[in-house]
Amino acid sequence: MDFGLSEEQELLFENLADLVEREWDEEAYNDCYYNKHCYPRDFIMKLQEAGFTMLGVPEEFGGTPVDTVTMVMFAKELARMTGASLPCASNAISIDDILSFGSPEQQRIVLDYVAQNGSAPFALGFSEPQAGSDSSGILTTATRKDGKVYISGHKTMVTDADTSPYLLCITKNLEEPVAFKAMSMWLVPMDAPGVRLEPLHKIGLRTSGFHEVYLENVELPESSLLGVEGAGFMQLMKNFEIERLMLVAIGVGMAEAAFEEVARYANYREQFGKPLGQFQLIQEKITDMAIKLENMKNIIFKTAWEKDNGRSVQIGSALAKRYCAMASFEVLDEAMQIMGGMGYTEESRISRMWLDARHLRIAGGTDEIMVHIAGRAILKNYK
Amino acid sequence: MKAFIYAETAPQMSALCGCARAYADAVEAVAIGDELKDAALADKVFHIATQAGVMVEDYTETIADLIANEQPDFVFIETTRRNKLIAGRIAALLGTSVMTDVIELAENGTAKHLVYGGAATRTEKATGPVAIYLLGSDVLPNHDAQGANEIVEVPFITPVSQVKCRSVAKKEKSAVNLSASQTVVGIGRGIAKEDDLVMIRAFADAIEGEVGCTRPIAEEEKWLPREVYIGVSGVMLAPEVYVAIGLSGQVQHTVGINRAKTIIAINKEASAPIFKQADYGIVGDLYKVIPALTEAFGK
Amino acid sequence: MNVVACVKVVPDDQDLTVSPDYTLDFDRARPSISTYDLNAVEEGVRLVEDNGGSLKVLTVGDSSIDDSKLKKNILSRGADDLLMVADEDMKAMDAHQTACALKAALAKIDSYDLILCGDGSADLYAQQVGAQLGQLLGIPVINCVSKITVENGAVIAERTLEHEVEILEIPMPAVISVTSDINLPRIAGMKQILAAGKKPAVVLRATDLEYAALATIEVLETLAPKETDRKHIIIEGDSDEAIAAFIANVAKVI
Repeated sequence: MDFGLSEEQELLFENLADLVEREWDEEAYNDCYYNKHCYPRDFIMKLQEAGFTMLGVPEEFGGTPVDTVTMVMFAKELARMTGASLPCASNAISIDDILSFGSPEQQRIVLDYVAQNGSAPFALGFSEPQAGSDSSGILTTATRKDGKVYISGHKTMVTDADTSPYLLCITKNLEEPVAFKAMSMWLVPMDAPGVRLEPLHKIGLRTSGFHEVYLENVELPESSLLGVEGAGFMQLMKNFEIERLMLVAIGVGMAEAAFEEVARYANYREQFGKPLGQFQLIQEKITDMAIKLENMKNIIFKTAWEKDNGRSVQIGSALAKRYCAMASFEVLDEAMQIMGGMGYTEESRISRMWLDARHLRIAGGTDEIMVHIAGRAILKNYK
Repeated sequence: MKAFIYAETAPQMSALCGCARAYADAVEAVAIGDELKDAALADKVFHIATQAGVMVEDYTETIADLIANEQPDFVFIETTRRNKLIAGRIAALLGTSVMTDVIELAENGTAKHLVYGGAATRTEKATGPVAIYLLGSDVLPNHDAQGANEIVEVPFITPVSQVKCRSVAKKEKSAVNLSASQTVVGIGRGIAKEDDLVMIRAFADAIEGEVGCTRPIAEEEKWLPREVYIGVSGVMLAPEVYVAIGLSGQVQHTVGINRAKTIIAINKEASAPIFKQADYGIVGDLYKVIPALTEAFGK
Repeated sequence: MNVVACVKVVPDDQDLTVSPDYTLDFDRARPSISTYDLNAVEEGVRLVEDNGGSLKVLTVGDSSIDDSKLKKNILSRGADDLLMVADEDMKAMDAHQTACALKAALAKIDSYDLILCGDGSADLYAQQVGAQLGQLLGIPVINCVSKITVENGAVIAERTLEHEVEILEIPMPAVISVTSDINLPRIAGMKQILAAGKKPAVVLRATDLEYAALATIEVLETLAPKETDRKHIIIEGDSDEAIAAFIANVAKVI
């Protein structure tokens, strides 16, 4: 087994480190996070200029194809170096549905927007009040009349709804009994008549908005359909395993950032006349955090490697998602404990990462849904 | 021992000629133009008449030829950007290398200069018959310049260079002369935005200091002129008091302030290396600390 | 125009450690591109983008610089190809030897219009190689150049000295050393890194060149400075009381 990085990967992360050193501005990010609740656009555009927001996107679309291992490592390193949850490392996954299934016009909209903004131009509208983990229970519909399509429904917990020009809206054909054949995907312009937003207030991830989206007879041309009608669920699920790895890679990176910070802190912070690190209770925390970090990195990188080598990651990605969502939060929680009161303030980025990491146990499939996926599949292997 | 002196400015010419007495019994100056002809500088003054329409660099061949003929043991050249070029070209013509940015010169001619971004001091000596140094009189023992000033006319050798100087603009003098200031305030990346310099300047005024900075503040942010960037490729200081504000204390910067008598550090990161080098420090938000200091010392 | 950017490979000074006897320990220091030389490469890339032609990077050094990752690193910065002379006989060369080696290596290149150097090397920072190289080649050489444009086959250079800014007209071929603020070297993206492995890189030995230059400087020792004794009176926190205590401390010297 080779745990070393390739020269190209080493250079990639050295260049990323140079960029972060040069361009990352902690004060500006905190201002975005705590006060303005906006996207750290200046920094993202620096990533964009270096081509880092198009990592994993095929060459014909202007990206740089890399393997899954490199993408997951990049997401982890970006989070480690900035101590921030910046989803732009996953652009390749977010826009893959459009690039794979969209019309040339839809592809152009997405690529132009990424080039100008470093992020995808749409928010995903999937969850509904009655359909969270039970996503098959959605009730938003698309109805045809006089050559037009009319969308009606209520989407909730829509990230970036206020800043995205489009909603990637999942609708359901209520007549179709087979759930995975009932769904369709539409690109709904957010400024279309009948679209209304109401804000929700997240405790973490405060650089992005979070909204209820009400759709009342929103009129669309046929060309707003993305891909094949009735194939929406299959399209959406094309990359969900990798999406989960990319999502928790951010958590692993933040946990590592916090770990490195408190390990240094334990060496110089003195209490009772000696550095914290000389107390065995602190050494135990540091040790257990290190074990969790090793485990997290091993499981996400190995699962990514399996994906690259054509193996099934159905179980592996669920295990990785569940474990890393929990363990990254545990590491951040212990980091806050070592920091003490300062770690609980907005002065320390540990508290910010703690708030951000908590969402990983809920988003992209909850911890419990991961058991639902992995548990059944593992047992099936032993029948 | 015989030393040759060449400086771009008259004060340094005189100062270096004085200092050279500690190293050589024969001190001989190379002077372009008539400015220094009558000052009692050295035992001999090799005088090169000013040529019309040439750059200072165009005297390089003449000086190199003179050194080759007169065979001094030491050549002291004032450290300036222009002389870095002239000295290098002279060395190439003579088949040797220049010892640059000398911070200490022993009587036997071994020189010290900073290497690895200031992480170490290298001691070296020339292996050939002539040793060429780029230095300032501030690193040498002080002696008054004196001598008979026997003028020796040197014919100008027309060079091959075809570089044409289209224009020269005096740089807007940044009124700041950090090297001369006894109190210096240095800022780094901990300063969030350019507007905050107002706060920093108010503090500097309160303690009668000048403002300098780290390299990124001058070269990447361009908030301050390059002349006030402190560090290995910037200015090197030895003030009475240095106040480091929102700078981490990387060696490339601190090499420029190591010789400060007292170092005061303000940084919100307790792990910032600057605290290891500080006499006094506070781990806290500079936006709270600086206004309080300005208030306290502005009275 | 054909541009050659000269770069020096130096130990990464972030990884230098000081031994108890104050000597420097290079064991953990990986070879890296001297920071200030990245400005020379960037300027070369920019000139070729604006004027056409090609950019070659030239480096000379000991055998350790013949390192696959390092070569990719260099070529990911935008050059078309690399000429490297790597030989143990070229270890720790002084400025004169380096300039002689570069001159000998340049003899292997068909033609060049402009040779760019950085402000100084990150390790020794003597700022001498460009000056020596220009003189050895017998072509115009200028340092401290903070802006370059090309006009009618000549370089128009803005040269920033201590108290004045000169505008110079320099016929080509010429050697120009650029300042560290002439540009901001670009970050190499993955596309450039992947492409770097496919660009031509020629590695020669000293015996491939017409080169024989003896050392002109003898290095007696290289030692880290002993740290100045400092008081280390550090106050934690920025409460009003903490700030008052800090003010009381510094009032002794301010």
